Amino acid sequence: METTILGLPFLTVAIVTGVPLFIVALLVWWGISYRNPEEREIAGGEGRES
Amino acid sequence: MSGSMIGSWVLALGYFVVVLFVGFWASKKIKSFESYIVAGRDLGFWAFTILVITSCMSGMTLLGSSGLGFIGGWPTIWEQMFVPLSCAVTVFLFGTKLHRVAGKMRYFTLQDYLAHRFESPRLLRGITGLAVFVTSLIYLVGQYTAVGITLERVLGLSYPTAVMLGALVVTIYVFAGGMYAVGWTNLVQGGIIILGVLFVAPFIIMKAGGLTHVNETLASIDPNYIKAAFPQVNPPYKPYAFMTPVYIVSFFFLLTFGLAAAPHNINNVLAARKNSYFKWAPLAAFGIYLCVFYLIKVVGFTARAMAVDGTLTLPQGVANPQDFSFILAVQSSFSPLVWTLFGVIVLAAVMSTTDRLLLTIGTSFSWDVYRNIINPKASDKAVTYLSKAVVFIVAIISIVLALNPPKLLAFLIWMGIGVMLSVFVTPILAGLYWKRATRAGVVAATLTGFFSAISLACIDRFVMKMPFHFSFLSFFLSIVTVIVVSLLTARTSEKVLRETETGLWF
Repeated sequence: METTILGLPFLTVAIVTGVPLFIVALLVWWGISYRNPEEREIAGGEGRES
Repeated sequence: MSGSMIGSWVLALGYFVVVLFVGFWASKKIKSFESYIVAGRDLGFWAFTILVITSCMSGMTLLGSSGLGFIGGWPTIWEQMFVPLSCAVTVFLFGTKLHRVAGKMRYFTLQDYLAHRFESPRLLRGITGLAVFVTSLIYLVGQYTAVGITLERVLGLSYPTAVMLGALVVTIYVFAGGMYAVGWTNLVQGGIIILGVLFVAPFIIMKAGGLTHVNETLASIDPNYIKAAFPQVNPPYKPYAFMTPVYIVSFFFLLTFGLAAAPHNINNVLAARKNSYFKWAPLAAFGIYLCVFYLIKVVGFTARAMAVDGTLTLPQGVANPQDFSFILAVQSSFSPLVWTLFGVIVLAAVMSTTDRLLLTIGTSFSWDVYRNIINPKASDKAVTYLSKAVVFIVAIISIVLALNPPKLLAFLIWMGIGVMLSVFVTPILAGLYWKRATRAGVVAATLTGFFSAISLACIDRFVMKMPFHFSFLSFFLSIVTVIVVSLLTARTSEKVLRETETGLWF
């Protein structure tokens, strides 16, 4: 018999929790890596890239 | 009048007084056209982040999303990921550079950017202005219809009175306080929606027997209700089983990019005080919206289980009975006094979107059409007055339309989002990140997107059902058009590309 969590198949649980967590991880990475113009000036004009 | 109805009125009137007070307080900060339209580019981190969420989270979203969960089960959960993601995309993909360049070049609207970047002060501004007007008006009518349905049940008002009461309050504070009033009232409304949903949803789920019982009941109706997608068959084996893997891909583009580029959402980025907000606002907006939106959908599933258990009955003889699922789930789980709270939540959700839509249409006409196309010599004061007049006139038009909602309102709303995806996303992305994109390319892409979206929507509705959302095709056509036509036409000047920081970086 298929494994269920809260009455849902494991694959459904993995998707409905895994996709949002993946997006959260990407947005955390964005928050850490994006440098706004003030920070770029402090960094000494290392280029426009984030 | 019963005791509970008096309680309902006290709560609703208390809410109206609070938003009007905040709106008038904010109106004292209106000193210029810039302060009326973009809040003096002075919204703080939370006012900005909550504005991004609430502009997107409408009453229609709240009622419609739980309704979709009611009829479609877990395969419809993707909506809960894509819509919050659209808030993050508005901020990081479109907003980061747009905010920086807008501050430097003093843009008031997205059309200012497009006119400058593509050296098209009239044509592109006019085309996109028309698209803003059409899509925002459709949205407005949908919102007022939602407020009518809710106030009718919560306050016992007649439908026309409910529509007019909700519309009147919004119009007054937008008229008085412009973007400052929108920003600050949205902070209050956002708080009400977030705390309200976090409070009522878990109780409804527990009262219905818990999530396991809800899921088991769903599975007993259709085993696919507890899967992440319906099987890929065309036509779907049941009318509700359209959320197939291919449809989900088109749904991703429609919601994540279409809503992110919606004029009433993207213009919010011009009101943020600092560019540093763009680091963490995407995460904050996504995280908060995700939690609230998941709960809204699960309430839709719960309402379905309650219907099977016989504790909830959908109304008969109405257009979309499933859209009543959230209202009825709250009604059957709480005492009458507490369930009034839900009316205020829906009101807050409706008003937080309608105020932004009204202001967007007002600005689009007064600034983009009147000042920049018809009368370039008009003073800031004249443009501000015209903007207020347009807010008032559009409110009246949308009330009249909402009093007799078009029979195809739901179809028009989905078509409106599809038009937004097909018209706005390509020019914005191409403008921000591709140096080779030209005026001719973007004008051609915009026209292609606009007309193909409307044609395909009609084909999908009246001729042949497509296995994906029709806008997927019109969006693809607009991308192909911008690439082909841009490569065949003269480049944009280096000066403009430098001023607009165009290129493949954030």
